[in-house]
Amino acid sequence: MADEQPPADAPPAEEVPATEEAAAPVEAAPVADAPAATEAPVEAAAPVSVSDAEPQQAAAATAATTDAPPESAAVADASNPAPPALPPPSPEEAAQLLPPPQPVQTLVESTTPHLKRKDVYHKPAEDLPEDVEFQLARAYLLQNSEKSEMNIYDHLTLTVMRVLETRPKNPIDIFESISSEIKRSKFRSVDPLSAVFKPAFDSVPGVKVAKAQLKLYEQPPQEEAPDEGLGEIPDIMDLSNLWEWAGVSFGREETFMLFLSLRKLVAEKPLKSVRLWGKIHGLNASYIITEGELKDGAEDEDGPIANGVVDPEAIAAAEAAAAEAAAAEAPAAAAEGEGAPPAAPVEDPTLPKPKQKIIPPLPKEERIGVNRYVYYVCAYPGAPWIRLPDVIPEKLQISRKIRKYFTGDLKHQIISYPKFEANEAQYLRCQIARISAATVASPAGYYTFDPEDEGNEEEGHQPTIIINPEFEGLQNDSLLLLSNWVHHVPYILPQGRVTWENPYASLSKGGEDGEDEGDDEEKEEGEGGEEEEDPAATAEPETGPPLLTPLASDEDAAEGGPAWVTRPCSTLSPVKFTPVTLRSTRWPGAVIVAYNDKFANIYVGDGHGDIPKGGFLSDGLLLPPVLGEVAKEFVVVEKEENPDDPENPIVKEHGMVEQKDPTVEEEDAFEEAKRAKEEEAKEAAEEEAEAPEEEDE
Amino acid sequence: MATLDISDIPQHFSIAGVTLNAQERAVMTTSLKVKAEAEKLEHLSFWGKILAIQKDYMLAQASGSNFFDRKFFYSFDLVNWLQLPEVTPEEMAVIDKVTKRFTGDPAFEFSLATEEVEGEEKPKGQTISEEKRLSGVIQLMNYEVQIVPRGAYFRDGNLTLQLNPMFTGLQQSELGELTNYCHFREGFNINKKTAEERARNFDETIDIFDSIAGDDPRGVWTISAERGGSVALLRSLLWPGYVFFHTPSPVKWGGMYYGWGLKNANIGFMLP
Repeated sequence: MADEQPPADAPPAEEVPATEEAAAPVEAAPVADAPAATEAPVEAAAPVSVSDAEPQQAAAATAATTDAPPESAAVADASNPAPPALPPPSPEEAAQLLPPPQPVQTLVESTTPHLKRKDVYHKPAEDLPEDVEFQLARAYLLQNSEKSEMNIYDHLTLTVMRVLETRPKNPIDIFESISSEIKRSKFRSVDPLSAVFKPAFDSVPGVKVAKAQLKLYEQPPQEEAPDEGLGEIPDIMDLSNLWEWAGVSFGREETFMLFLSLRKLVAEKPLKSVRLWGKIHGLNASYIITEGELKDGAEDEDGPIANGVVDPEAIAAAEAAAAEAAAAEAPAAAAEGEGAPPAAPVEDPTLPKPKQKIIPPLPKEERIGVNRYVYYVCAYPGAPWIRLPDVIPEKLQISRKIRKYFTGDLKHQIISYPKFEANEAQYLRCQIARISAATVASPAGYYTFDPEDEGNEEEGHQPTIIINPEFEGLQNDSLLLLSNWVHHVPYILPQGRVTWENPYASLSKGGEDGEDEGDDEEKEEGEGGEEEEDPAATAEPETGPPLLTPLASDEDAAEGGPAWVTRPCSTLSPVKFTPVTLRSTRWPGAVIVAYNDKFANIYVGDGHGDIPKGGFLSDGLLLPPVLGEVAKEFVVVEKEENPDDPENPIVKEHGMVEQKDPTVEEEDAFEEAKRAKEEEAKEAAEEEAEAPEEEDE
Repeated sequence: MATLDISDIPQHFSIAGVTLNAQERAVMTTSLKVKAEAEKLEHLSFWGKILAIQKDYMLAQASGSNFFDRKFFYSFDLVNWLQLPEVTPEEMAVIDKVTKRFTGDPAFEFSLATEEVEGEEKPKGQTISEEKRLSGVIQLMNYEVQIVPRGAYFRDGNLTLQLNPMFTGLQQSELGELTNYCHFREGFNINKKTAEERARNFDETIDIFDSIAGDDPRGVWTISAERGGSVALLRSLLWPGYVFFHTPSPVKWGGMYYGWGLKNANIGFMLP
């Protein structure tokens, strides 16, 4: 009660009207603009509660005035900010009632908040205004129960009214029974629709994944001999134990599902062998990546689709590009398209010839070199495997210069500088190629050069390697030495291929490519003819370390540390019985585990290496390449004879100059001169016309 | 469950591809118990693993009734745990600038390449020992990326921070939303919230931390629902290697670091 409050808190009696007035506009504002918008929906939603509440509140108010002394009643009325007619406010409306947000209190924050930490409680500078608190509380109390369609606000009003009407003795003792009686007496209509219409069943999240995974557990039909002629699959359940020693795990259940998924992949595609390559995390989804080798002579069915060759949209785009004389596009399409006609660049004599010779794109390696293996990705074990496109050399060059997180959507276009101009699938494929070339390794002696292939001394020939049948495995302690590990995936040259291809070859003679896919119809039409200087002859072939180079000779990490660190996985058991792990520092996430004669390569990470030295800032900071110069405007070059030095004329460059508008006088003079000229010409013509007449006569 | 349980690591962190091997789990479960007893520590829990060139650091942290006042321990052999030194603010400034990998030798001195300003004296503290840097990096990470689900802690009547015993995990529909994960750090200032934010779905007892949804740059966290939507997995891109999981049934959450201890300074270039 207001009269019981200590005098310091209670407002003096004569100030009450003032506060009432001050409070009035605040309340009036929402009431004035709210009713039209809010009253109707509220009434529609709970018509019973509003009509019920009104008379009772009025009754309660009259009861209060009769019981209480008159001056305290005035105070109580003044402090009651909710007139009975006010519609129940929603939190949004209550928020509108608030004063504008106060300027944020600036705190003195130390520069190192991470040290000497202590729990600090920031007291709210000001509590919400009392009427707002009241409205929020009222809004909460007015919420209808989902089960009984009642709210506690109305219920309490009804209960108190019932007590006042019936005036029982000791009402507090029978309060519960009154309350429950009111609840019982409340009319509850049974919605006839609820018997007919059932609420829609929200499917449990993850059902889609579960349904896809369920297909993995289908028994293969008995009649077919399924394992005949199928590609090899690794025993990843066994390998996963090794990975776990190295700190890499996909979870036991997931690994098993992956195993089934790999078996399915091999059954569906013409693959000779597969290997679980690893996992690359994306922002929204991850990629589980499998490396496969196509069977010899088998047709690559997915290839054209993955490479976007048979996609009708891509063909249309390529044709449009060719039509627009984007000369760079046409040979690319011709080189890629197996079914597509070899579209030579159309030479339109009316078009101006570009001054710079366009260097045709490098031929893509097909089923050899970087593209020897094909890669399939999926988002989770059991999801369909999607084939990645082949590496395009130019894209690989650019992928070395950019660093972009994978999103998990293969169709996402990479936006970067320098421009990548391809989707994420191509970027992913480039990164996989780079990681493979840098981190996939085997114990020395596991692979050996193919003796049948040794005599081949052709230029640019890649020696082939085969598994050494006499290899017996190395001891664990010798596996800890980097010199006992060799790369068995060829080094990728800076130009993005394994074998070097002269980028100007087609410029100079329009000839065949040195080693091509053996597809004779696909010849690159060179521009030909212009033989000023032959860049093809001067181009320096790029070279890299040969195949089966030990890891010990790997280039150091950018900051100077070794490229690989080796560890026995267990420090407690003797080295003989513990797996050995090698971790790449240049490609964090790339791991090799080995245990006597078994070994496995795996990559789990973001798909990015450390920052290479060339072209980037040190200290691990990325520095994108500088933007090219802005193209110059057209200039008029004038050469004047230099009187002092006749051999070097003075060169003057005039940019484009805006001309002044002629004045009226100048225009008049010009008109006059023009007219005079015309007249002169006329006279001359007349004279000439007269002359032959004279001759005739 | 205020601290990370080692037995959760193979089950939940394997979603992110990382795990600890059997030896590490077995030895640490026992050795941390013994260490906590010897040092009279209330909670001593596994913090993470920082990979280094020569040896890898296993790290543990201890906290008492004040959740933010912590001690840090490292170990190479998983058995003997040594305490990491305190770091001064000046040293912290140096630590923040070192971008090299850890070497695995606690006595190693990192020196900053000084940008030579002519005539000026070499500022103090240009070298930092690896031991101190380790301590500093852990504290940086704790401040910047340690997170908890909303409602896991609350302020009681005395305004002290308490583990919320009534916390039953986030709702399934809330699991995938960044707004429901908060930085586990002091300094939340209610006065920085607008009045509108305070009026909606705001509870002063549990909304006591900053939500990670407001972290800069946007997209610095990735969140994914795994295992049929029953586990939320969060990865920090600012400190690649920090992984956090939360599952509502049974209520569990925990974060772990497994990586090279390097901050991603290039994140601005890498986001799509």
